[in-house]
Amino acid sequence: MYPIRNKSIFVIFLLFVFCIVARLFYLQIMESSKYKGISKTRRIRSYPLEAVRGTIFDRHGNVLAIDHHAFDISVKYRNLLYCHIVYGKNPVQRITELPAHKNTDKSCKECHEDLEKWLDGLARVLNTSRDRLLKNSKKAVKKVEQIKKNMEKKFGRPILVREENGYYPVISDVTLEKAIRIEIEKDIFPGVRVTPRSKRVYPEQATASHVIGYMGKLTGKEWEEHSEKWDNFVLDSSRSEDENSLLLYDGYAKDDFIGRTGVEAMYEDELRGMRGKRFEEIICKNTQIEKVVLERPPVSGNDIYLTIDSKIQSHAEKALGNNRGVIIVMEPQTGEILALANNPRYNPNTLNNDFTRLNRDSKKPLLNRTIQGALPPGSVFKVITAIAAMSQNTINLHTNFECNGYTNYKNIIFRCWSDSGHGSVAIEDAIPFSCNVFFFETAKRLEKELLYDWAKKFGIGEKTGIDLLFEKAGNLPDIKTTATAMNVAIGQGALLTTPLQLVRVYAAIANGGTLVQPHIMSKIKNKQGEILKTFSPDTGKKIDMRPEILSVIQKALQEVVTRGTAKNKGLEVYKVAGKTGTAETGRRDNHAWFAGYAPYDNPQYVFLILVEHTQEHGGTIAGPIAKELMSFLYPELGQSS
Amino acid sequence: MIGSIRTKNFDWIIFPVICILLTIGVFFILSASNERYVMKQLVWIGIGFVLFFILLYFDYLLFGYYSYIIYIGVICLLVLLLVTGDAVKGSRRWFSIGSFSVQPSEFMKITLILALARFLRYKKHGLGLFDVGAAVLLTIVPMALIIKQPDLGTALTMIPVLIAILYTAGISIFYLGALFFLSLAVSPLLWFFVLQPYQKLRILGFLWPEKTADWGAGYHRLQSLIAIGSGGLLGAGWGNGTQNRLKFLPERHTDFIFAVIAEEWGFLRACFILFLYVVFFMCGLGIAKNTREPFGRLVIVGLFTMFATQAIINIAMNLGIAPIVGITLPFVSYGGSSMLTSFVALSIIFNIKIHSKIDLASE
Repeated sequence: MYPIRNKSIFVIFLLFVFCIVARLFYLQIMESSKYKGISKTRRIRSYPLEAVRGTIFDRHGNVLAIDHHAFDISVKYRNLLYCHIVYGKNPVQRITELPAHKNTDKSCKECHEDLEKWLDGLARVLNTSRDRLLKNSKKAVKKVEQIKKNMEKKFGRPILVREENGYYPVISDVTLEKAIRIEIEKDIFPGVRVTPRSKRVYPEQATASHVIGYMGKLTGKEWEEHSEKWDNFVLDSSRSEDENSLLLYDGYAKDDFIGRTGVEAMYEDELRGMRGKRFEEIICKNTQIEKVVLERPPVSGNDIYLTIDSKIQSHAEKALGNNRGVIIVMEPQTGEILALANNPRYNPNTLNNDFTRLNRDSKKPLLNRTIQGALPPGSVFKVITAIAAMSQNTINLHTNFECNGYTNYKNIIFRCWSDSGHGSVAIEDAIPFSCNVFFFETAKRLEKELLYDWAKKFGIGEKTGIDLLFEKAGNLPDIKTTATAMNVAIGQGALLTTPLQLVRVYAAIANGGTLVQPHIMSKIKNKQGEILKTFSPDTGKKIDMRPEILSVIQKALQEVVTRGTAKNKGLEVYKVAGKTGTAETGRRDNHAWFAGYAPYDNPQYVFLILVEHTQEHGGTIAGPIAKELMSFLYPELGQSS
Repeated sequence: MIGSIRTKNFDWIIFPVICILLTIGVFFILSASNERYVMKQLVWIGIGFVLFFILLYFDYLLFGYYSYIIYIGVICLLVLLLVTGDAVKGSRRWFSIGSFSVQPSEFMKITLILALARFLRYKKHGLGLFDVGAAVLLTIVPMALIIKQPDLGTALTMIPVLIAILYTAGISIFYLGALFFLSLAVSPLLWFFVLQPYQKLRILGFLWPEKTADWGAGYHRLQSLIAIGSGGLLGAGWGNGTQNRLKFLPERHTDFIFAVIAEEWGFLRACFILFLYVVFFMCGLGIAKNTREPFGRLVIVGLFTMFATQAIINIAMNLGIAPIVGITLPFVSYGGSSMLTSFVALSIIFNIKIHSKIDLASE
C-alpha cells in the first residue's frame, strides 16, 4: 500500500507545480507587455521644467520687468493633515480614520509633542506663527480631503488618492536665507520642501505700469483654449517617434500666469518661452529620483526692448503730480513712444493684493487713459478744422470773422470762451487765441462732409494700431447738420478722441504731414542676444496737404506760446509750438489739454498733456506741466533763461 | 548509536540541489537588499551546515524517542511567547536572543512531524477513530497557538503535513473524506472567531484583488504581478529589475524573493527553480519509499510535504493565486529561523537515509 500512496502524493505535488508553471507562462509570456507598461507608468514620472519669461527693457536697456526666483515652503500632505487635525480650529472630517483622530484631545500634550515641536520650529524658522501656517494651507487640505471623500464614497472603501502624496505650500515667497536654512536643517524638518518658482518683478515699481501691464492666472476656460493652440507641437524631429510623442509641448498648465494687459499681454507669445519636460525614474514611496530618463530642456522667452525712455517716462509721471491725466511723448518722425504716462497708476508688484481695491476705485487706476480714455478734445481739435477749411479754400489767410463773444445759428447761441469777444479775427489770431466764433463761422461755410473726411484723414475715430491691447477708437460722429459741424469744429459735441490719436495729429503737423504709426516695441532679442524682430515702420500715411497751409498752422501754433493762450508759461525758450484746449465735460469741470511739439524748427518731441476733470483751463494747468516736461527734456535751455 | 554512519548512503542529488538553491538565494538577497542581509544570511547558512552535520551523527530514532518531550517543550515556548514575546509588526512570533531573533513556530513544524510520526508509526493495520482524533488534536493545539500569534501561514502548512502523514500511515479514504468535510464546517468559525481583521483583509484582497489594489495585501499582490509579468521570457538581468531596484516590491528579500527572481531572470530560469524543487521532492519520496522503518518513512513524508507546501504556497502567492501569508521560500528567502528549521529538517532526512534500518516490527 505504501508505494501507491507515495505516488499519489507526488502526483498531487506535480499538479500544483503544473498550475504554477501555467500561471508563470501566462504572466511572463502572454501578459508580459501589459505588466511592462504598468511598471513603466508607475515608476516614471514626468514633471515640467519652468521656462524663464523674457525680460522687458526700455530703449536704453533699463529693466522694466524681469523673472526672479522666489521660494515657497511646502509640506508633505500627511504632516499637514495631522497638524490640521490636531491644531486646526475645526478638525478635518475624514472617512478613513487616522491615528491622529483618536488623540485629538488638545490637552493631551505628550501625544502631540513631536508634532508640536516640529510645527513650532518651522514657524520659528520662517518667522511666522503656527496659526498663519495652518491658515495658509487650509484650503489645500480641504480640497484634497474633499477629493478623497468623494472617491471613497464612490467606491465604498479606503482609497489613497494621488493628491495625498503631494506637497502643499504653507508659505510663499520666503527670503533666500530662510529657504537655505530649511534646506540645511532638512533632518529637523522631515516632510518640508523648498520649491523654487519664478516670480515676475517690476523693479521700477509703478513707472510705466500701464505700458508694461500685469499678469494673471489663467481661468479654466482660457486654459482650454490655449492648450489647443499647442496641440501636436513637435520640437525636435531627430528623436524617435515614441519619444517625440512623449515630449510634445503641452502649452499652458492649468494654473499658469498669462499677460493680461500691456506689453505682457501683447507680446505674451514672445515673452513666454517654452516649458520643458523631464521624465524621471523614481523610487517607490519617497519619490526620490533614481535617474533622468528623458528630458526636453525649457526654452527661455525672448527679451523685448521698448521705445519707452524710462527717464522721460518717470519724469512725465512726476510732472503730472496728483492730477488725474495723461502725458504722452513721442518721436514725431518715427512714431516711437518715449513716454506714456498715466495718473493714477498701480504697482504691478503688489497688484495681487491691491486688485480689488483698484478695481473699485472711481478714479480707475487700472485704465490706460492714453489709449482707452476717449474724451472731447476741445480746442486742440481746431487745427483739423483750420486745415480742412483752408485746403478746400473755404477760408484763406485774409478771411476775417467778427467775434462778439457769440454767434447765432437757427436761433441757437454758440458762445466763444471769451464773453467780451475777440473782435475781428483771421486765422493767424484764431488759433493762438482759440476763438470759437471764428471756427463756428468757418464750419457754417464748410461743406458738411468735409470736416468728417479731414478728421478721418488725421486718424480721428479709428484706432491708431499701437501695439497695446484694448485701444479705443473714440467717436467721430456723422456730420449731417450744420449745428453738428459747428460743435465738432471746436472739438465738442459727440466727438471723442483718445490722447494718442491727438498726439498723432500733432506729429503729422510737426513732421510735414505724415500720419505715423505709434508703437511701443522697438526690437525683440532671444536670450543669446540675436535680434529676432524689429519694428518695421511702414512709412506712414502721407496726408495730402498744401505746404503753405501747414506752415500757416505751424506758425500759428508757435504764437500760441508767445502771445496766445499759453503765453508767459516759460515755454518760448524751448521753442514749443502747441495748442491748448479746454473741453467742457457737460458738468462743472473741464478737461484741460495741451498738445504740441518742440523745437518747432526741427521737431524732436511731440507731446500731449491732458488733465481730466479740473476747474482750470488748458493754458493755466497743462501749460506749466508742459514747462516742467520741457525743462527735463532740455535742461540746458531752461538754465539759460 | 553514534558512529554507525554509512557515507555511501549520503544523498548526492539532494545535497547539490540544495546548494544551488542556497547560492541563488544569496545572490538574489544581494539584488533585493544589501550586503548586510547577505552577511547575516551567510552566517545562518553556516550555522545551518554545522547543525546539519552534527545532527547526522545522532541516530534519528533518538528524535523519535524524545519527540513527545520536545513537543511539550516547544508548546510551552509558544505559550510563553504569547505571554511575554516582543511584538514586531503587530505579531508575537519571535524570541530575541541578542541581535538574533528566534521563531519557535518554525521549530514547531518539525516537532509536530516527529510527534505525529511517533504516534502513528505502528498503526499499519488501519487507523481507528481514536487514532485520527488524537492526531488531529496533536496538530490543532500548536496550530491554535500559532494562529493566535498571529502567524496564519505557518499554521496553515501544518494541515497538508497532517493529511500527508495520516495518508501515508494508512488512513482510510472514508476518514479522510470525513476529515475534509469537518474542516470545511469548522472554517466559518475560524473566520468569525480566530482571524484578525488584517488577515481577513488579505483573504478579501485575494478574492477581489482589483478592489484593494491601493492598500495592503492588494498592493503587494499587484506589485508582485507587475514584477513577474515585466520579467518576460529572459528577464531584466540580475540587479536590473525595476520593481525590485526601485523598491516598489515589498518584502523583496523574504516573502517575495521569487518575484525578484522571476523579474530579473525571466520565465525560463524561474522554471529552473521549480525544476530544482521537483527534483528535491522526487528524491525525497524515493527515500521514503526505500525506508522500511515506519517512523522514518512518516517523518520523511511529513518533512517533504512541509517543504513542498511552503514552496508551493510561497510561489503561488507571488503569482497572485494564493492569499498572501507570511511563508518563506525554503533555502532561498532571507530568514534565520526558517533557514535553521530547513537545515534541521534536511539533516533528519539525510539521517534517515544514512541510518536506514530494517523494519523490525514487520519482519
